[in-house]
Amino acid sequence: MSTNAVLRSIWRRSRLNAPLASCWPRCWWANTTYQRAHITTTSQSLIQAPNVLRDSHTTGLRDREELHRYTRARFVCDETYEMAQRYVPFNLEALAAVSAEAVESARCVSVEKLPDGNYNKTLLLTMDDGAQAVAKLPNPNARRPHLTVASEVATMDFVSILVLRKHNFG
Amino acid sequence: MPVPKVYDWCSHADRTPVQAEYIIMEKANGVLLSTILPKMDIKKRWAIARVVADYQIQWADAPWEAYGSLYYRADVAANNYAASDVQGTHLERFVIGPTTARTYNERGKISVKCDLGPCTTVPSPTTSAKDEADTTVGNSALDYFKAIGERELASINQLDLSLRPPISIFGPGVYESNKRRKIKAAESYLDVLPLLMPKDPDLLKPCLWHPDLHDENIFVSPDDQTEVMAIIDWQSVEIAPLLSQAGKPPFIAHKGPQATGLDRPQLPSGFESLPKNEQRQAQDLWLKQSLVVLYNTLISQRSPKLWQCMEYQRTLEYQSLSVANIILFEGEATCLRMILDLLESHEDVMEDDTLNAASRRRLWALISNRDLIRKDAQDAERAVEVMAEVRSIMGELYPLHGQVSHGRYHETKEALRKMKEQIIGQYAQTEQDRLAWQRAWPFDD
Repeated sequence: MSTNAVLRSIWRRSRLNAPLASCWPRCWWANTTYQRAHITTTSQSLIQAPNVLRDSHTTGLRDREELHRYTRARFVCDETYEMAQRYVPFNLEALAAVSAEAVESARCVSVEKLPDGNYNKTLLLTMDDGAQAVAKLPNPNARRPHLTVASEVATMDFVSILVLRKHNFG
Repeated sequence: MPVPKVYDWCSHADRTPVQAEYIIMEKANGVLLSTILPKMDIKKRWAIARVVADYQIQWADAPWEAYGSLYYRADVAANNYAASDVQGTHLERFVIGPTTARTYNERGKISVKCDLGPCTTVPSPTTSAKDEADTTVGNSALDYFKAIGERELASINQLDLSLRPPISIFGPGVYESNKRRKIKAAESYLDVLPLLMPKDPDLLKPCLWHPDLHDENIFVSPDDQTEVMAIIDWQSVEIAPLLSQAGKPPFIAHKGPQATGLDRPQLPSGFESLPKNEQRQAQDLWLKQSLVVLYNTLISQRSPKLWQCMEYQRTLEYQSLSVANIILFEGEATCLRMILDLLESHEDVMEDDTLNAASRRRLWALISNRDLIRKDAQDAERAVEVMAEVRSIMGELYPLHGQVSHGRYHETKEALRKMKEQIIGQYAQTEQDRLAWQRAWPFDD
């Protein structure tokens, strides 16, 4: 089928010109269930992917400057200032411990830096039992102390119940 | 709605051994839309767009009673922030508190003292009956937009104005910005604000909305690519007037001529006789335009209110509201010109009784300076063109958002040095100009 024909059929079947009621299932949210995987387990191959910091000795994980720094690109002007705006000091051992506890695992065995964003550091943490979690730490340029993180968490919580609670909301 | 589950978090760096604010959350399932979008056919793109449009329609429908950002009640109470209740069963734990929108945080604005809200749309129990009648959604939205003008004014007064504009190049012979003009723009915006509001208060109702639904924030199922499995990055989300929030998801945006409204796009006339490669290009554009029109049609039928907002966004009134957000950086001349256009196109505006004497005086001054304001705006437009010119000459070496890959850094710096000489040669008339350009050039250390 040519693309034109595909598009024509979409126009036809989308029934966008049909009366409102038939155009969209009214309670679509009611029959959509999202499997909320509690903790993702992952295959061994992912844990051993390159760029993963494996713990080198028994005392814990290897900390590296690039976990804290903005590494995606360089700035053509005011580089020192821009880099400082995107530098996040934190205690890796503590973060690993907190995250292992959060997912009820014994300990975190690897920390992988996910691609840099302008406003956050995101790390993929893998536990000894294969469980994984993402840690998000806002850059100085992204946050008003306390407000930004507190609001993001409450917003995610709210949005996750918004659809399910549709009938009670308002 | 599918979002990653939060396992643990801390918003006080000094109260955790991690020594930083953090959120630990579920790893999103599925694959990132950006990794498969380029290969997706129109049917699948449309399926994803429908799902996202339906989220947006629900966001637009949800009832809120204040503008600001969401927090847990306990959290805000412990820190003494102003907060407004969220109505609804089982929602008692949430409140609306100060906004976390990026426009209040970007480029040094974090340090500016200004009103972060929230602005509530319901009267407090102590309000008299007369005041109650006044405390409508419209008035409260006015407070929301007023806070933006006042924030810009405070930023202009409190911040170092030597910041380089993001999308223009200022310098002698092109456009030179100054503090007085920025202040005048922010003040004029505040003066005409009531006249920029849509008549229908429904377009101003508070609304929670994900402002950045691009393909890096959406995860879809690897099997059925049209099932959305997670929407991530809820940082800096705010509850703002629906009018400011409405917008098509960026992943259906495209380059080239844009389709607006509800008319189905047409293939160019003589399509059949075009060479094969041009046929392919025309068809590709036509498919992308069709997707936008399909989206528009869906929104207009399912949520007329949302559609009205998108239509209102094309007016001069809305564009004046919107440009006010960037007066500090580079919007002052354009803002003044838009306000002038408005004053001239509605002659009765100056008779409007919402204007006080001081506002009226300032706006008359604006009208009598019309030639200068038009010239400034033209120059500011040229400053944008100069940046666009630099971008097109540099091609792939152009540092988008001032950033460049590690491998290309030195090559880019060298190209920028050459560009600098070329631009200065083109626009500087005197030695003094040359010195000013040396300082103004936005790509030096």
